[in-house]
Amino acid sequence: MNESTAVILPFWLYWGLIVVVPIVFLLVLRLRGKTEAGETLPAPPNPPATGPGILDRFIRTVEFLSTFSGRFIAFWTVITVGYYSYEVVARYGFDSPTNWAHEASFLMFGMMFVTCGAYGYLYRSHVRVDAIYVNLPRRWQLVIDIVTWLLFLVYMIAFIKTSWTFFAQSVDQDLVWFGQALDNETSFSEWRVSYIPIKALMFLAGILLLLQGVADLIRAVREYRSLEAEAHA
Amino acid sequence: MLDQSPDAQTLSPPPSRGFYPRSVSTLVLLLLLVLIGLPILWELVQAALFDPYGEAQPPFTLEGILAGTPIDTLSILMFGSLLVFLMAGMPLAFVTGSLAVVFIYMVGDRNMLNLIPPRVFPMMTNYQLSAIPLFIFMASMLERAGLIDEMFDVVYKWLGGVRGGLASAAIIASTILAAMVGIIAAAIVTMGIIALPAMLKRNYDHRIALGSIMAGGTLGILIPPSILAIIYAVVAQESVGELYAGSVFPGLLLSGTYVAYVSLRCLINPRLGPALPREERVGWGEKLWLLLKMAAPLGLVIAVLGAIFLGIATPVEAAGIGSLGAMLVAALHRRLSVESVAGACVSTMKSVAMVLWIMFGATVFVGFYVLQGGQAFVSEMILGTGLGPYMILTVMMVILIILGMFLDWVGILLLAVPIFLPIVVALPFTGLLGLPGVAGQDVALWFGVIYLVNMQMSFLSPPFGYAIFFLRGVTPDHIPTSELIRATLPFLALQLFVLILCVLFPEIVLWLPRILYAGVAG
Repeated sequence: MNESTAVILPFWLYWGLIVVVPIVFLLVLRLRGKTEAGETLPAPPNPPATGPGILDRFIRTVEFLSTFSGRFIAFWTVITVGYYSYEVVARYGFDSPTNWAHEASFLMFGMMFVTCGAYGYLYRSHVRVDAIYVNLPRRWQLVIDIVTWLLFLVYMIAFIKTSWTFFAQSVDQDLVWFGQALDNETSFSEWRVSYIPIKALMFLAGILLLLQGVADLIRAVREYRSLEAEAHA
Repeated sequence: MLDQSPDAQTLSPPPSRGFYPRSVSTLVLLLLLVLIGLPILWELVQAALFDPYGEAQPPFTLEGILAGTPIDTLSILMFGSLLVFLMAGMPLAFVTGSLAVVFIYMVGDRNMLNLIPPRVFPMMTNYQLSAIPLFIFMASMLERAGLIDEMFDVVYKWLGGVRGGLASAAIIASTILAAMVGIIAAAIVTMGIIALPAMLKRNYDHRIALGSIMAGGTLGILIPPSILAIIYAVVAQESVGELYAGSVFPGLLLSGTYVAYVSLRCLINPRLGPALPREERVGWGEKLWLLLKMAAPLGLVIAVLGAIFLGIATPVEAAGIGSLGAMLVAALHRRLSVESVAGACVSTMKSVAMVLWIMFGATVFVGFYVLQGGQAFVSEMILGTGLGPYMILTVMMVILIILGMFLDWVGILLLAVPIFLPIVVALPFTGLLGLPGVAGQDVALWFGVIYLVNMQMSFLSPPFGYAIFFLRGVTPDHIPTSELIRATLPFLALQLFVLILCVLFPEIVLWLPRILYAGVAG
């Protein structure tokens, strides 16, 4: 009908909300502290690494990053609920459907889908087939964890390397040295939002997941050595 | 220095911390690390040192070493190694992805690895998939509003006077919950906490009590809005709305057979599930009041599903509006706070991590297999047996049931459906026993719903049914796990029965989509 009045979400607001809303949520949660009725966000399942050594510091940093990144992206769901509600109200209430609400939402979820990997790894949400594994003694479980970690490493190296190429092919080569495209890639819709941050996040998510994997490997090797030491003490 | 037994504590410890492994597990660990690690290390080194297009070539490389392997050998290699690593306990999300990388590298070359992001990115930018987090969020929000507890309470006060009423109430409450929740863990665990003690207190037969909770909870992945249906729709490029419409009647049929079974057993032998004593039953006034309390969440479910079926909103938009509605319902129940929204967000993201990374890995794995001609190979092999369409369907169902005993449902979907579906779609289903068959354009939809019904069994089937594990966590210790497993058996038989019904009478599946989407489904 009157498409001129349709509100188009500006890009600065889109990317701005993606950054600001989670920060606001996390700040409010921090300020309110532990209320009586409220629930606190789950803490990592591993015992905290408290040692002074560099490995402990590494584990601490990585696990903080995984937890933080996971919580950060989790709040994007609230934004998308807002977008879809706005779209339906605008369509039926004001007869002016948007050309951005759907894309704004599913791209945000796309970024969530890939970034949540590290949090999922840390919080053990990647399911295993519990056929043999659960019935094994702990030390054999660790043997399996350490050996299969090599395969995980292969996957992550390939994922990170190819994601980087994929990302570089979306960036204008006149803009930065690693760019390989003729122009900055945007979506094919009318809204034409940039794909660059999304593809960059794929690469970063791979790095995060690999780092979390390394932290877990260190934990596994340590546990294995302490089990061995116990058995032979 | 090598102990024969890993637990041998009686042997004196070696005086020095030598380089030698001190136990069998360490020896195996080092051996495997060398066996798998050295080739990987070498490939990384040679990839860094040698230019693939340069003069100097590495003396030895695994790159392309399997090039030209016939597809039958490759199939055995790929799925064999998948089986080995899965059974060893490597997470499904990573085992598919890493094996895909290994085989792409060994069959093709390193440049072929660049097919990973183009397989993953479309999943990230898929419109339909964004319904998954939204529906999970809606469910977590409703769960935090305390709905699951209240739902059972309401239904069982309505059914208290009936024999086996508590078990029927658990099934019916689970069915209604399934219409709000697309995942099953929450429903089973909560029912196990509320309904199970209530049933045990009234001396219900253990198997009926446990079975009805597990079978009822499993309905969550069949009755819309189900997460699995969305993923099937994306993989098979079907309409989510049609799949939802198609799974309504099979879902109700399943739920109805469960209730009928429980009631019948209790009617024959009242000791299995006694009715509430007269003084504990509630009057009609309170029954209506209870119903009124449920009005808001029930209204929300009807609004969400109605909007999808009547075409007012897409499933994704309905999920978005439903999430907003769920927050309002939580506000009505005085459970809306920054903390509850944050908790729902984080648990949503965690579930998403589980589902999506399995999809990423599996799509690369299957994508490569299909690229190598795997789909055509399986197709030829199955069609070459000379079996009729319905026998082929039976074979596929048996394969899915067996896969369901071990694999995660998302994994089964991503691994089996892209290979099975093209075969099924090309077959003529002209009906069995003189009954009407399925028209060609409806086969994909029909197969999808049959698949969803089949997956019900994967949650219950021992040895690794998820429902068993979810319920085990909240079942009192004096009930052994074997009792839980035995409890699933009659319900598995009922699921098989409904599955056969859906194959024999495709109209159970196809009638509603045809009414609602007349122009589309023909």
